[in-house]
Amino acid sequence: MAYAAYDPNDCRAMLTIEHTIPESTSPSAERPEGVPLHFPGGLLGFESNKQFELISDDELKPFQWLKGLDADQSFLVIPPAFVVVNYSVEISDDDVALLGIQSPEDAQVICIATYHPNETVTVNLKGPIIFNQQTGKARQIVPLNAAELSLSHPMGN
Amino acid sequence: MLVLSRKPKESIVINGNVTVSVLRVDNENVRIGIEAPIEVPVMRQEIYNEISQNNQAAAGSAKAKIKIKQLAKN
Repeated sequence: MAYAAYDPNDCRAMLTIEHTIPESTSPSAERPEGVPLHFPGGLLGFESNKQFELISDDELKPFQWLKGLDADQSFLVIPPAFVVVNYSVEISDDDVALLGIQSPEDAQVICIATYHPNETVTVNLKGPIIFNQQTGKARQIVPLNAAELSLSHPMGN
Repeated sequence: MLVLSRKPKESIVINGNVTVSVLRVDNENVRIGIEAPIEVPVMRQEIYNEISQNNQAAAGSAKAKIKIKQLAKN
C-alpha cells in the first residue's frame, strides 16, 4: 500500500492508494516471506550459490525449504535435533567470527535432507549448515569430528 | 597441476594468502599445515567431494519431492 501526501490547497494533488493482492498460485500453506540467509562461501561444491531463503511450510514440518535465489537449487532441511539425540557440533572460532555470532542462542543448525526413491529420507550430519539468526549469515561447515558423523543418516531410526 | 618438491619445514604460498607447510614426513604420511584467511575453507579432498555430491543429490531429490507434492494436490 502506498499513498501520496494530500495537500488541500492543491487540487491537482491526488491521493493514491495502491493495494497489492498477494499472488498465490499454490493452495499450500507456504508463506512467501522466508528468512533470508546469505552464504559468503556458497555451499560446498556450489560456491556461487550464496543467497537463499529459509521458508517454513506447515505441510513440510519439521522440514523447512531452503530456497536458492542465485540458482535453481533448493533443499529440504531439518534441525538435527529431530534426527539424532546428542548431536553436538563444535563451531570453530573462525566460524564464530565469520558468522558474527555473539551469543550461543544466535547460532542455529540445520542439516540437508535427501529424499530417496523408496520414500526414505537421509540427513547429512557431516556437513551441517550453521547460521546466525540475528544477521542471516550462514556457512556449510565440516565439524572437527566429521569423520564420526554420517553423510546419510537415516531418519526414523 | 603445478608440482613442487618440498622438504619438511618448507612451505608453499598460494594467492599470497594461503600457506601450505610440510611439517613432517613419515613412511606413508605427510603432515601438512595450512594457514588461510578464515573465509577460505580447507578440508580433505574426499570430504569435499562427498559433501558436494550429497548437496547435488539432495537438491535434485528436493525438486522431485516438491513436484510430487504439487501433482498430488491437483
